[in-house]
Parts: sequence; C-alpha cells; structure tokens
Amino acid sequence: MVRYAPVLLFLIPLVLALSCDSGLEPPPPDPDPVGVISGTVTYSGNWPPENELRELIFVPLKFIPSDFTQVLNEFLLGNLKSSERLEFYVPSDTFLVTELENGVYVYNIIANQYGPVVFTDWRPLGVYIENDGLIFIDNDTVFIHIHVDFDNLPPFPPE
Amino acid sequence: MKQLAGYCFFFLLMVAWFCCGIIHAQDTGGELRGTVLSSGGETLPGVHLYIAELQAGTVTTSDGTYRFRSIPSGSYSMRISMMGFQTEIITITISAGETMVLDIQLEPITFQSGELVVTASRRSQLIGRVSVSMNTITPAEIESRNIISLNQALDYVPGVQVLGNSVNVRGSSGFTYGVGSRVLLLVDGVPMMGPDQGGMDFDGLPFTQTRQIEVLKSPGSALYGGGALGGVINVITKDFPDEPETTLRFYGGVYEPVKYDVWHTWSGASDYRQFRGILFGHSQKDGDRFGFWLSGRLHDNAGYLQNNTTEGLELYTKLGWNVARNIDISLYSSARRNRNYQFLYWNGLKDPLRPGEIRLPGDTASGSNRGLSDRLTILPVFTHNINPKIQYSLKGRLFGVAFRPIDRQGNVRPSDKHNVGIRYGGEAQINIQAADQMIITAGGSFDENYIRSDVFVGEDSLMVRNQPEGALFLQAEYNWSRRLTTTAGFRYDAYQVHTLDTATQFSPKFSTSYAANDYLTLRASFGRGFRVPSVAERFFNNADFFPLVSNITLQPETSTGYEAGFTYMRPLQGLFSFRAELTGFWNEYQSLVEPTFQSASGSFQFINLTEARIRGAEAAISITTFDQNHQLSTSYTLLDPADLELNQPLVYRSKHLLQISGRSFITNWMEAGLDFRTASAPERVDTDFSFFVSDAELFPAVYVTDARMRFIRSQPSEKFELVATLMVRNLFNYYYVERPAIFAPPRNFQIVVEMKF
Repeated sequence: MVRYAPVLLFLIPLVLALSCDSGLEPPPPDPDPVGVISGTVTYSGNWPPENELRELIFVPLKFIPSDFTQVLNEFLLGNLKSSERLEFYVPSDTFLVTELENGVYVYNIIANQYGPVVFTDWRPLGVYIENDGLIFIDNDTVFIHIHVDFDNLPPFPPE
Repeated sequence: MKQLAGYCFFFLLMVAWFCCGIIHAQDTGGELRGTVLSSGGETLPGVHLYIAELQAGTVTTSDGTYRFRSIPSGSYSMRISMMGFQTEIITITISAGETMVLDIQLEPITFQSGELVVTASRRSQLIGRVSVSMNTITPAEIESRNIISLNQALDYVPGVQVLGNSVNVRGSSGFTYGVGSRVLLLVDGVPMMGPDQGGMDFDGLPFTQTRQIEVLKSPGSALYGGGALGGVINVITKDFPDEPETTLRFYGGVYEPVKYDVWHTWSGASDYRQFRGILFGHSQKDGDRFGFWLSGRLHDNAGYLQNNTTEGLELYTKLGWNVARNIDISLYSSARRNRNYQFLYWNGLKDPLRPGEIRLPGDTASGSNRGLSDRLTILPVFTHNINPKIQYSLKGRLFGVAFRPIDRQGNVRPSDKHNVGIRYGGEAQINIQAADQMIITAGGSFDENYIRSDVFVGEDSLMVRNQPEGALFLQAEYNWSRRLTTTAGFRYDAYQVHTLDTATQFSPKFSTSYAANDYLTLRASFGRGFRVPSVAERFFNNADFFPLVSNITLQPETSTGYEAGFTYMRPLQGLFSFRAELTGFWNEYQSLVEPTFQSASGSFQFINLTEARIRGAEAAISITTFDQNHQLSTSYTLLDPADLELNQPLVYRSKHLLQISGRSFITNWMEAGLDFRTASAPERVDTDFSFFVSDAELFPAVYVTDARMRFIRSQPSEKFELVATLMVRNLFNYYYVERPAIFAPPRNFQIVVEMKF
C-alpha cells in the first residue's frame, strides 16, 4: 500500500486547494438604495373641498393593500417611501421619490388623507396604469405619469 | 477558468506519479492466452485477470481475449473478475517455452452488476458494447456512500449536475422549479415521474435492494417516450439470491452550524441539527419457484434550514414466481408516507437560513410549505420465453400520490385543498432473435394520468385533469461482424394536449459501435427526444408560494441529439486496468419550456420560449488495480449551452463540470474514499426571480469534497459482515446554493453501521 501513498498525498492538497474559497458569505452592509421614481400628475374634474385635502402624496408600494392599515404598518416599519406633499388645486404637478430599494412596485398611487384619522382615512385618487401598473426599479430612475379624475376615482381595495 | 485548467494539469501529474515506479521486469518463460466468455457464450471485454504470486495482471480486449507473456515456470493462482460476474480462481501450471491456451467462462450474478446494462436497448447488454453514453452506479457505491436519495447517487456521475430537484444530464434541464423534468426516471424500465408536476421523486427508491442505477446520457425517447429529452435514469431492482440475505443499516449525523453569527437568525441555527434513519432489507428464495425481498426506511431530518424538516416511513417489496420453466411473474410495490416542511426560497443572503416572503396583491406568499405526502406504486410484470429466440413481457403500472397541506396551526387543511394524482398504464414488449446477427425489440404502451387539485385551475376553470398517451416502438440491432454493431429504431407517440386535441411525435434513433482494435471501441449515435409539458406547467394557477399562472396552450418541447466518442481500455504496467472515454455531443432543443416573468399578469408562466443548443465534450478516465482494491477516476465535461434566439448562454447551466473520486483499501478491513466535484458558476441566471426573492441571482461555483472511512469485519464462514463508516460531507464547509435561493448543506458528519447476514 505504501507505493500508493503518493496518490493520497496529492489528492489531499488538490481538494484543499480547490475548496479554499469559502463560497457564499454575508453581504457587506447595504449601500443606500439609489432607485428613483420621477413623475407627473395631471388632474381633471372637480377637486374635493379643502377639508378633505389633509394630505396628498405619491406612494409606490410593492404590494396591493386590502386596507390602508397595511400601508401605515409599512410606514411605521420604515419600509415605505413617499413624495413630498403635492400642491392642491393645480392642473398638474411633478413628484419625486428617491432612495428606493430595487424590486417591483405593483401599486403606485396618488394617495389622499381625506379625514382626521391618520390610520384609516385614506383613499387613492389616481393609480399608475401604464406597463400594467408595474414599476421595475433596478438602481435606476423611472419616469411615470398618473392622471387623477376626481369624477371617477379608482376603487379601493382594488378589484 | 485558468485555475481549473491548472488543477486538471495537477491531476494528470498525479496520475503520472500513480503509474510511476511500477514497471516490472518480467522473466522469459511460458505464455498464457485465451478468451473470457459469459455462460451465454458472449465474449467479455474488460475482465480483470490477476496472478497474485507474480503481481501481474491484464484485462481482456474488446473481443474478450487476453495474453500473459514471459511467465516463469511454476504453478500459480489466477483470479478472474468482472463486475456483474462471479469471480473465478483458477490454478495454472506452466513451463518455460510453453504456450497455454485457456478459455474461461464466467457466470453472471443477479444481485451485483455494473457492466451489464438494460437501459440502452431494453435488453441486457455489456456496457462495453453499448453505442451511446452510459454510466452505472453500483450497489457498492450506494452502500459505501450511504446513498439514501437519488440526487446523492447522481452527484458523481460524469456530466450530471443536480440543481435542487432538477436533474441536468449535460445541461439538459437547467433549473425548472421542480416541475417538468427533462430526464426520465424509470424503476425496472417503468416511468416513475410524478403525475402532477412531472418531476422526479428522489427519495422513494429501494436503495438497499437496488442492483444498479443506469444513466443514459442522450435523448432516449425512441425507446421510452416523453420525458427522455435529455436522458434516462433507470433504477434496476435486485432479483432473489439463492441464500437468504438480511441487511440492517443505521445512520445518524449532524449538520454543523454555519460559521457566520449574523446568519444565526432563528433559534435552531446555532445548534448541531440532527438527521437519522434505519434501513432494512431481507431477500430470499422459497424453493425453486418463489422469491421475495422487502426493504424499508424509517427516517427523520431536522434540517439545517428553518422550516425544512422531514420524517417518514417507506416500504418496498418485490415478489417473484417462476410459474413454469419459461414463465415468470413479478410484482414490485412501494408505499410511503412523509411529513415534510419544505423550504422554498430564502430570505436573501442577509438571512439565508430562514424562508422569505413574497408580497402579492391581497396576500403574502410564503417561502415554505408544509404537508403530508403519501405515495403508492405497484408494478406487475409477466415474462414468457416462448423459445430461446422469442421472449415477450407484459408490464403494468400504477403510481398514486396524495398531498395534504398542513396549515400554520398544524392541522390538515380541508379536503378541497388536497392534491391527488394517479398515473396508470401498461406495456407489452417482445424481443426476437430474428437471425444470429439480428435482435428485434418491439412493443406498445399506454399511460394516463389523472389529477385533482385546486391549484391546477387553468383558464377553463376545471379542477380535474387527465393526460392520456399511447405509443408503439420498434428497434433492430444488427451485428455485422464481431466488431461492428448497428442499432436503428423509432417510437411513435400520440398524446392529448388539450381536452380533445391529440398530437403525435415520431422519435427515431440510430447508433453504431465499432471495435477498431483490441483496446479501442468507437461509437456514434443520433436520437430524438420530446417532452409533453406536465399538468403543473400547463394548469398551475396559484400564488400561495410563488406567483404562477397557467398556460393551457403550452406545446411539447423536442430535442435532437448527436454524439460520437470512443472507449479505450487496456492493462497498464501489468498492475492496472486503464479506461478512458471521450465523447463529443451536440444537442438541439426546440420550443424549450422555461418559466418566464410576464409583466402583464405580474406573475411567472411556463411558455415555449426558445430554441437552444447545448454542445460539448466529456472525458472520463479511471485506473483500477487488478485486485480492484484501489481506484482513481475523474471526469470533465465542457458545455456550451446557447440560447439561439437571444444569442446568450442558457440560464442555470455550468460550463465546466469536474469530478474526482478515489478509494483505496488501506488494509483488508479498512477502506478510505474521497470524492470531489466542482461546477463553474452559470454564465447567466434568471434575474426576474430576484425581483421577488432577494439575492436569488446568486449562484456561485460549487466545490464540494466528501470523505469517508469504512471499517469492515467479515466472517465469510458465518456469512456475516459488519461495516462501520464515518463520513464527512462538504468536508471543507464550502457555502453554495443547491438551487436558486436555497442554501446548500453545510459540513455534516455521519456515522453508518451496517450488518449483513
């Protein structure tokens, strides 16, 4: 058997050499997300009265909520980004959401807080519908357009 | 890749060393030559002949002949051995100048093989005579590696790569999310693909009663029909030994916790997670006419991932009845119950040991799945040898599966959520020795599957599916001379793709082999394959675990394969048998079905996506001492997988596969074994999946080493053998993925104790 010892002597360093890389390892801390949604919104129809315009923002979501509590939960968890407040009573406006994580945003809305209760009194005024409503973010900037028709508001929860 | 080339050179250097210093000067003397034949009169190439007193050996040539020269005068014991045949020891006495001609006959043994295969032509053949690429996995390999799952067995077959539950033969499958395998699994020649997902069940096989596993590495639809697009895996069960045999095997082991603390994100992650099991088997004959074996496995595995446990019981039996001198009946059956918690996808590389979630409209899809799974298989076979030249067989099959999901509270969900699938059918085959040089094989088969499931609701809203298919096949093998053999055949399949639509498929094959000289055999083949999409691919419509929508218009995919190669086999330095194979292959795929993200539905869907071509080459070398106590083997496969429509590499195919195995009996009671396999990182992966599952695009190269030591205590007089094995899998604790978004097993330790009596 001694004569075969060289075989083992070579086999062992061979597999050692090939296996010295340890493969997958925990990723370094995330760099700040760099995805951006830049958009325009146009309005038609009659604006609601001022007491129903407590908040008006653009919100991109990675899920379709069955009620707005889910959206608020995400907000509280810090998983949700939105635009600055949009202007009221204008024919059109622009918005920008930055530092978005990569992924598919499936429900993208102009959201309006219409009542005093911040946890429940929300409704969508307009929904992004192009590209089947999907926005793909992959470290890039996506430009979108949303139209709000105050006389024909989208259903919520969505059908 | 330079690194890999360097390692190959290193290995060749090692082989050269292995062979150095072993050249023996031999005295002039007598000569011994002859031919080794099977008891059926067929010449046997590759038989090992070894004269221990002289430490000299040789191996028979392609026409079964052998020769020893310069044997000193005297009396010697010559050992003649070949896998699949009983070893003979013959005493020879030879004097100086004498030329002795000694023809030897070997008796085949029914329970151990490796050189006799049945998959290539639906009849028993010597592997050296087969004109297509084939490999076998022997019972010795299954035992020594404690193989309890088919994917473990396939890990060391040249050119085969297993990604999760997708088997790739030379890159055929890529990764298909566990549905619609492009490699066909057979048990004793009978298809065993799941009636619902069309996938392989890696665990439901009787490994203690497996005679061998054969892997056909080219399209096999001309003999086996749909599913054999990339190749065929045939698990051959044992017959019944003359003496009763009982096997008991206990195994237990632990997974080592991963070394990075940041991955210890659940309570079990820092524990040594256990797995264990008992395998048992008993086989015997009762008189001359009856025989049976039974085997089973009781097992549980705590898993190294959260929500990834299995526990189950499997039972297998085979009964045989020799009704008359020329009539045999056998019945193989298996029953199995498993309770599984299945891990589907991770929570990203930050948290790879816990299942993730996909947020979907109105719901959240979960990255794990829990349920009770029951399986039942019954395979009756009737064989009648009408005369020595005509034999026919009738085979039936029934394969049932039932899956009952379990909810988060641990309760079985209501019956309308259960999935039930049954595949049944039959087959008739006749083998005719039409002339001395010609064998004809012909037959027909019928199969139907029936599935009831609430997740297979296509656009037509039906919950019950069936998919019948029938086929006729014919093959002729003609031996033009002792050196040249040609095989030609076809299969004609008809199957239902929609409720009322029937489609047909014609699958021809042609192959030839030519023994150019004593050591070199050339072969070439052509074949077509096809696969009818599984019910799951066409009708799956569910988002509980992954957003997937149905496509009832899905069409079959087809393949055309060409290969040519040679086998070179000769003795080396009077001490080793050397075997080398080189094969070039070129496979074209049409209407390949791939899961693809559809932005219109925000879901994945199986569609006929692309035309593809996978070409490449495969080289395998093995060196074995004549006493078969030491063996070194390696194989390398180069793949060029191209998506011809996108002009890019096909997804999830590794370009380079390398396997190295060595085993050695250090003493007559201790054996050491080492296996190493590597696969390069795929050049392209599906990036759509990573929109939903974090880091699903990560797919590093694979470098895995398994090591084992076996301690054998054998008492031939009492027919008792005790074997203890220590095994370490993934010895160097290399972290990789076994399929997208599933972390592969870290280093794990195992103790196996087996008793045979």
